Amino acid sequence: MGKNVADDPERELTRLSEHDLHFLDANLLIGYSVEWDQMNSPATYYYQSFACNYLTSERVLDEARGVVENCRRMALRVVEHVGNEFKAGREYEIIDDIHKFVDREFDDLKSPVKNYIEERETKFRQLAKTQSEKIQREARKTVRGDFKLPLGFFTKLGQSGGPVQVWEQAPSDPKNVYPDKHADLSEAMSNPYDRNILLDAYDYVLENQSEDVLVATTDRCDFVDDRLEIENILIFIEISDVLGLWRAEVSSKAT
Amino acid sequence: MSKEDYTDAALYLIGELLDELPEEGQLYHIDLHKILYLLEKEIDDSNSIADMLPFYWYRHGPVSQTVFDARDQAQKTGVANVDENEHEASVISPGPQEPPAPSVPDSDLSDAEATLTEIVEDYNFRESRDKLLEEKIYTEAPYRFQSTFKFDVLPTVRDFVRNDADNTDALMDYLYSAEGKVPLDDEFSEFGRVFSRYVSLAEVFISGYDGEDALLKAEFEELTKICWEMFCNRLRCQTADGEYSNSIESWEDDAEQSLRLFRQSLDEFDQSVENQGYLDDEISRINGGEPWAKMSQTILSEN
Repeated sequence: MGKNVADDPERELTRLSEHDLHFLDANLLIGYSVEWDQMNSPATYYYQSFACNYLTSERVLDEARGVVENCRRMALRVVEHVGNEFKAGREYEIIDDIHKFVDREFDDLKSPVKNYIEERETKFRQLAKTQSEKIQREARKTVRGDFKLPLGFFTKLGQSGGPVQVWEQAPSDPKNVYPDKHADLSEAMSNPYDRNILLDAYDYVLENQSEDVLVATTDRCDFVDDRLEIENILIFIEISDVLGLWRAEVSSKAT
Repeated sequence: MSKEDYTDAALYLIGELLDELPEEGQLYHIDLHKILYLLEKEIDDSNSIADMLPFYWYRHGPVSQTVFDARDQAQKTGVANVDENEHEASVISPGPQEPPAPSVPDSDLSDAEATLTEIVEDYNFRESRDKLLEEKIYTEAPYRFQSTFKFDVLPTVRDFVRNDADNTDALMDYLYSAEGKVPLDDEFSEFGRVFSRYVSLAEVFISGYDGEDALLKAEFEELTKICWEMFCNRLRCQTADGEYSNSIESWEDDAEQSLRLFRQSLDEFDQSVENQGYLDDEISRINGGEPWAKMSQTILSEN
């Protein structure tokens, strides 16, 4: 396990500032475009603090889009349930009860859809109390509009000439091109999506003869905790802990 | 009980059913499955005939291999005349022969016959079968997604393509309603992912549609049909019981293949939508000043 940046924010700040090229992980794209996402504040802080050349890959955009679409599907599932089968109890417990439904239905205590339910609390309260087809249609329309914006944001980023360079030449299956690195990374980390995203960044460095690239992420579990090992395997890659730095920043302001 | 016993019982019931038909009556092959499905639902669980009709769900509703086998047997033995038409569903009418009595206890058989008579009386052979399918059969479907997609999405997409009817709001609402009903079973997780992508692309296309793109509309309709096939291929695997253990492996292959076909068709549609400028329209609409759009623009201005 590597040390987290919370232990040394100064060093992390220097690391982020010294690199001119940042490879964006999906959570920084999602956090920036989805207002209710838990990473919204860290992502906004990151973009405001580090103006540099941003890079990402098609795989990252696909993942970001998939995550947001998955959240939309869950939100619509909740609309369907609350609009048809939900037994509204005491007023002050409605949102808690909907959260409990989410925990049970999706078997995920950290489901991002709970943030969305809080964001649209009034709408879900109305749905729970007035189970009518008209209210359900309106709720679906709200969901439709809310998720359309971040999805359009990803579409815009995918267009050539945008503010974020999208590396389109990365191999679709990095295992075939970098079998050794793929095998070593598979030992170091469990998430195959994240492993391939790192190999996209690595591929960019090799193909463009770039000096190195900093992977900017808020994912502490898959990237940051194992970063010493990852950086030993992918020698041109460094990983930054945006979430830790943001927390250190918030904490220092509070005191 | 052997498979042959199952077929004999279903053959006998088909003979009875054909006797009950109105004058000069005929029915589509798929009606056999629907009527015998209703029979299987309504007879007592202890009736041995219930176990002889193992149904699974597919594109047109519940179907059973026993019924397929019995229909072939009915044609072969002259119990039924089957008019096979390459382009239309096969039509079945009474044949000259009577089916032999099956190896089933008399009480089970007489109960099944009485129930069948009641079902046939209710079954409307002339008017819209879809109504009965929706109201009596699909209410028993294992997933609510099935009913919404079959009775709301598919016909509304058809209307959208055939006419320039202003039904785009209804269509989008049905699509989002279906998305909220995607089964949560692990086996449908990949379906859920690609279905949501399909809904997002449909949104881009339909929101920007200006009434002048017949080819893209046809592509969208085709994509929607492939989507339904993909779902039904997975549905068949999920709803078939142990009686179908010999078929499951090839059905799993079909499900995987139809998922690949849908992904490919989705990519092609995505490309068509982009080539026709729909993505540009979408992007320009998003830059309309909403809070999150402003955030999106911040990233542009900072660079």
